[in-house]
Amino acid sequence: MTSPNYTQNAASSLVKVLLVCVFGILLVMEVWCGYRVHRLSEEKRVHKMAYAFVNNVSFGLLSVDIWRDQVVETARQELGSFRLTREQEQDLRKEIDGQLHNLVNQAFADINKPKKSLGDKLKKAAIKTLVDQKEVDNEIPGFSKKIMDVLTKPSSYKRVTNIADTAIAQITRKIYDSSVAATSGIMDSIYHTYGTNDKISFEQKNKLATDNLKKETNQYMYGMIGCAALMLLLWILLRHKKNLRAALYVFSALGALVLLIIGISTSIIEIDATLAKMDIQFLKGSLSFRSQSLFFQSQSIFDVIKLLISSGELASIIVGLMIAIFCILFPVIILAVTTMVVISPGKSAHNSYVDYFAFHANKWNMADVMMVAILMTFIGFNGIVDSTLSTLNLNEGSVTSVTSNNTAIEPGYIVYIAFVVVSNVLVAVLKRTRKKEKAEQVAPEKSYA
Amino acid sequence: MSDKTQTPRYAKLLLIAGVSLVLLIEAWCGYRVHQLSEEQKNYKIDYAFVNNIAYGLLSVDGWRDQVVSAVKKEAGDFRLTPEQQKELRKEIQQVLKAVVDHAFEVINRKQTSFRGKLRKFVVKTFVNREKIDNKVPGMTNKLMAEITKPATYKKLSKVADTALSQMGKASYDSSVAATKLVMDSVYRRYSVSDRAGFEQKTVTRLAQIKKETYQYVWGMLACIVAVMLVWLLLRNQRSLHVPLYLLSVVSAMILLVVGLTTTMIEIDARIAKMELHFLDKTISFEDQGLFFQSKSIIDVVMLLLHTGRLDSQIVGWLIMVFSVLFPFMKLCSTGVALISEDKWAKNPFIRYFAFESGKWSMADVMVVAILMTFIGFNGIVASKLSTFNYSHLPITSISTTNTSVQAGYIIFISFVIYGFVLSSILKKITKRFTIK
Repeated sequence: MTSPNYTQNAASSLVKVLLVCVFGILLVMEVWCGYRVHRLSEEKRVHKMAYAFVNNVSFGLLSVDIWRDQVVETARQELGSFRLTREQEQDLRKEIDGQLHNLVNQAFADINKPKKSLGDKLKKAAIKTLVDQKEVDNEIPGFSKKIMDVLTKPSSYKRVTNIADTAIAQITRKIYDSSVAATSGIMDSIYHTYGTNDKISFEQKNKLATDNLKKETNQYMYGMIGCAALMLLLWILLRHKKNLRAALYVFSALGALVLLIIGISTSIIEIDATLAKMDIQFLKGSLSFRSQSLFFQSQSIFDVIKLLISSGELASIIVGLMIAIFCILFPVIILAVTTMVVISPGKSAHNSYVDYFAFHANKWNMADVMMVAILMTFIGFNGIVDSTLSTLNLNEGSVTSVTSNNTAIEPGYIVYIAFVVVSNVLVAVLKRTRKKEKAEQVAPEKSYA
Repeated sequence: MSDKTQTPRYAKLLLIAGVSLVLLIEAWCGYRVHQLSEEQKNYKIDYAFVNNIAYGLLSVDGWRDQVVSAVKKEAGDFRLTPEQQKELRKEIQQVLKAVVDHAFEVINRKQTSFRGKLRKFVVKTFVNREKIDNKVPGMTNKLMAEITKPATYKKLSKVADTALSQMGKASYDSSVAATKLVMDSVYRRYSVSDRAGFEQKTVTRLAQIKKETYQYVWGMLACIVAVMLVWLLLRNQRSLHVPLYLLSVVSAMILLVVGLTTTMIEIDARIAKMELHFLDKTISFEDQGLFFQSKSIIDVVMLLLHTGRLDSQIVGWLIMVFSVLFPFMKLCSTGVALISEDKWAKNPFIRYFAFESGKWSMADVMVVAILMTFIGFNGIVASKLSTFNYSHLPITSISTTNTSVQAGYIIFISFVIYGFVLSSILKKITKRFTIK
């Protein structure tokens, strides 16, 4: 070996070490980002589920307690501001007038009755001289007015309101949901985990946390995909460097594997159907319900498989196993086998199984089918939720409601897509490189011959 | 050893006849599955209609009787509380005082007539204002006693009673009569007279249908297994492979057609139970249907194509391609590949459909599976309650746990798997051809 060759070798081995280091760092970064994506997305799901529980329609629109409170509150306000209208006042005055007239008539009838005892006769004569019924009748409007004045005094209204109020409270106590105590206990314990005591501050904290988490998750997700994509790109650029190929392929395959693991264990779709607002006209006020969570669900591919297998139905179990085998196991096997092929090309050439799994088993690799299926499901969900919610969008005078459909694609799905793309490109490029090299190998041999 | 170049003709005929018989049985079972699932769908739709929330929880009629009777009872039990009596007494006292004040005012006015003057004088001499003022509380007491007498309360509750009855009569749903007509016509179709009878009848018939459907489904699958067994037995009888394969394709077709047209998924959202204490009564509603859909793949495709939304339409077309177009192309391609042997079998288009396209049919299976797990296990409220050990509570919540996959799903999955098996068989037998 000559010395320039030696230095060249040293340089190339330095480059090799450097490249391996770069790949190693990229992989570590990817793993870290992936871990964060998974954790943050899980955290976000927990937050959202707490929100969906607290705001669940069961404890709002469907809760008798809430209705009762709202109705009573409106009724009370109505009572508090209750005043007789002019017509009602007139009616009431007429009524009092009539009653007083009756009273006077009766009194005079009593007096005018034939009397027997001398004393009574004398009394009758005295009253007759002193009091004239006509005069008394003329005074009646005055009395009515006085009574009306008393009845329509603010203090009187207050008193009447008070009586009605306590009567309502009495009845209210007898109308309740069968599960009040328990639910309020659960709510309190949820608020406690957020270090708050009431719904309003819980919602504020929850919303803030969710928004932050969403942003952060996306950042880590892009970071993760970026690392994997960079590794893939570098591998493609350096695929002809035979001494590097195996090592770098291992890293790239590991990168793809990380994508797969995060992709299947992180939520793929979030369905969130809420009744944003519902106002019902009642008396002069309106009962209003805000952000009633109708349906919330967020699951990962792993959850889907787990639920299917544990459902107890034969068809579901079979499908769960099929998804697990074709969408997780096969992609992993293909990556593993291609890695083997890259590491020891000689060995694999003779083993037809290895060759089959590495380059011809793509019809069993259903990760791409899953990718399409998830998108179809998402669009289908969106359609179902939209059309179901649209029947709840009311605007007919006494009832107005606005629904919102926040069904969304979650990071898990995007990472899964990244996995499908990266692993397919990786294998395809490898396949092509090998084919080319084989052809090149064959060509010189032929020329020798 | 098995390379007998010519199997006897009668053996071939026998085989074709035997397998055809199996196929006939399969077709018959498929027809029954389809019919039964259609019947089940109709039953369930009627059941969902009768139990719809609009005729229960959301119907004024459903509430009226319960509320009116509870309020009537409450009105009968109504008594003023001591505090309320106190307030009432204050009010009465004030009115009485106002009357007395006014009376003295009237008398004490400047009198012009002799009579007036005399009256004023008499009152002034004989009537002690203070005495009368002191009498006001006593009179108030008397009035209060009158008001709080049981007889008065009774009179009051009677007034409330008649008023409520009138209200109850007035507040019926404007659609009540129409609803009753519709319900009655549904009941008549089931030759029952009331809801209880209807429910009993549907529930028993549904259980029966379910059992029968599954019997026929297993029948179909048994036929497929039988065909597979024939393959196993005749795996070396090469001359029989072509007719046998073509028959297998037909059996796959039958599976596919039944799988596509039979109900695949039922989505059911309901309010399982709502219970509340209203005054002294417990009012409860059970199984209030919110949403019910029973769909086969073809139904879903049609539904999506008719939504008028571009994205849904695209998904509709995709489902159509994956579950209708690809499978038929696949079956046809395998047939073509087999019959034409080397001529067409090398065509990449035919090869792709014959050997690679099968996995795309899994897309629909996956869609339904994901749909099921997302919708069918809606347990936020239920699961939270159970973690807090409150699962026994009758909390009103929307439940979708009755969502389930149906016979069509099983048949479609069977088709997909059968398709995989058929294409590997094809690969094997065509390989032998090419080697030959």
